Amino acid sequence: MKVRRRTIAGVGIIVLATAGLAVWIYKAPKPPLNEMKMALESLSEAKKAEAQTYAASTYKQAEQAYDSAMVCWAEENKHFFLFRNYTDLNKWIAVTIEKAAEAEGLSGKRLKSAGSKLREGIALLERKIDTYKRYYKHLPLPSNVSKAHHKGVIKLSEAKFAWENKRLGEAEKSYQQAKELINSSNSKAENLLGAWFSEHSAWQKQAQAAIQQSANGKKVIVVDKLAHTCTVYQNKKAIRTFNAELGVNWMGDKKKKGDKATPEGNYQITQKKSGASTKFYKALLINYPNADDRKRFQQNKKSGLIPAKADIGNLIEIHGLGGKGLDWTDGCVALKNDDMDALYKLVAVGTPVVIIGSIRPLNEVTGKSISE
Amino acid sequence: MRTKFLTLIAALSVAVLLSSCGKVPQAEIDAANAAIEAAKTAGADVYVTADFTALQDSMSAVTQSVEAQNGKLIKNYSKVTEQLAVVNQLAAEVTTKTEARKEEVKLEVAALQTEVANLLAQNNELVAQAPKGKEGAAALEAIKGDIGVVEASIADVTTQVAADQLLPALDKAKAAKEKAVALNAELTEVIAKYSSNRKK
Repeated sequence: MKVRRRTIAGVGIIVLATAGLAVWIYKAPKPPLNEMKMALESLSEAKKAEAQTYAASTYKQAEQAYDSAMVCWAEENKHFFLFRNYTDLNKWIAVTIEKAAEAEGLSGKRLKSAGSKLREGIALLERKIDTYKRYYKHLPLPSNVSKAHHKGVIKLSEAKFAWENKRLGEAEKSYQQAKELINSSNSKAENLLGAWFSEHSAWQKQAQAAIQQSANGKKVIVVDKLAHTCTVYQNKKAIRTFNAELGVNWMGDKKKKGDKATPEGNYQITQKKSGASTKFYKALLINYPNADDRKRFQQNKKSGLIPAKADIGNLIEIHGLGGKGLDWTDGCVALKNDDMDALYKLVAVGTPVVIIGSIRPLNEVTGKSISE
Repeated sequence: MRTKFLTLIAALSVAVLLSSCGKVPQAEIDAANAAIEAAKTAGADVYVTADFTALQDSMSAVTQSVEAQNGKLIKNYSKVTEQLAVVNQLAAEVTTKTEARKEEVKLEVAALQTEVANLLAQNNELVAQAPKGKEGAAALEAIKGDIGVVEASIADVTTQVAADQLLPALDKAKAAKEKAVALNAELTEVIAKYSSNRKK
């Protein structure tokens, strides 16, 4: 009887102890497994949004918070399971999720903004390339200017290809290089053109005087170097305009023999050549150098602008064999043979030939003022 | 009473024994990390970015599973070992995919290099046909200069390929081709104008 009571008491104690232990285990804190998964997922989403690049510091904070959470979890695992406390771990999880979400949002915004900036920048550079093609490409620019332009064009293409393939970092890098090259070449070309146009008011006066001279039915030729045109005026009206090709270094006045520049000034036809007398189909020889050219030539020699032994040059003509789409002469004005036939018939020895830089002002030519 | 006490001690010992029977599969973890590192060295983070991110996430999930088992009274790492095998497999696949993508890019770059080389040869021939002497040789110097820029660009492509910078090399090769094609058109136009004028 005594043994039975003791057994019942023992069993009762064990049951109670087990029940107590079970309640304790049940009530014991559980590791936040789902929350840890969520933290990892939020980091992953931030990474997909390229937060490592575009919200680097916020993403780093999220990553550090996640690492702290893992360290915290490992530390708690060292304690007996009934004595663990996951408060700090939960805190780090919350920070991870919050910072990762912040980084994802920030990255999205920055990516969008960087993308639209790049798109606008590329569009602007394309317009600048177009400006170069329209106004500067045919100018006799120093080789470093055109080289910079072409390098810039290639760099811009590289930026566009990287952008198409969603490699924004590389696209931005190439874009910046393209921007530097294109801006530099455009600005140098614009400065050269601007310096040349300082003579514009004189050109305008020369052109007006030439047109006025044609009032009494006399024919006058006006060569507009920038427009690459050769126009015949009569009774103040342009009766024919021909496309013209010029000397390789046509921008600027002729200074000496061999500079391949087309002279600027008031001249007249001194000889009409055809057949065996010219190798350029037909030609109209003009009186370069005139008195003004000789005076300027001497001044340039004195000021050391040209060598003391330099020759002034001669044999400047309006001739045929043009229409190559290039400026290729040594300083002459070349027309297509058909046009040369027409001009040859229209003019005579003594016809005035006025060669100017440009009738149109620079802001009309480039669509903006040079000071802009 | 003494017997029951001994039984309790024995039960506790079994529990302690059970809790320490599962061991962290450190060798497998190290192998998986090495496989991920190998994928990165192959360029997975550059050429197959999304796959590489997924691989890293898988490994992070495994680390969480390890920690979850570490916290249990009775540890069992068999699922972790299975997960690690999957990570290893995934890492190998990502490495293979990276190599394949790199090979694809290399072939594309090589094809573009050949195309550009042909275009440049064609352009140099066109320059040779263009007006000579007074009739334009000097003006063609500018176009020759442009061809030089493309040649320099394609030489950079070779350097980049050698340095394993395949994607920038691909961009450069595409850009060089675009410019070479434009120059070709420009030269053809100049020569056509020249030829038509000569016939007159």
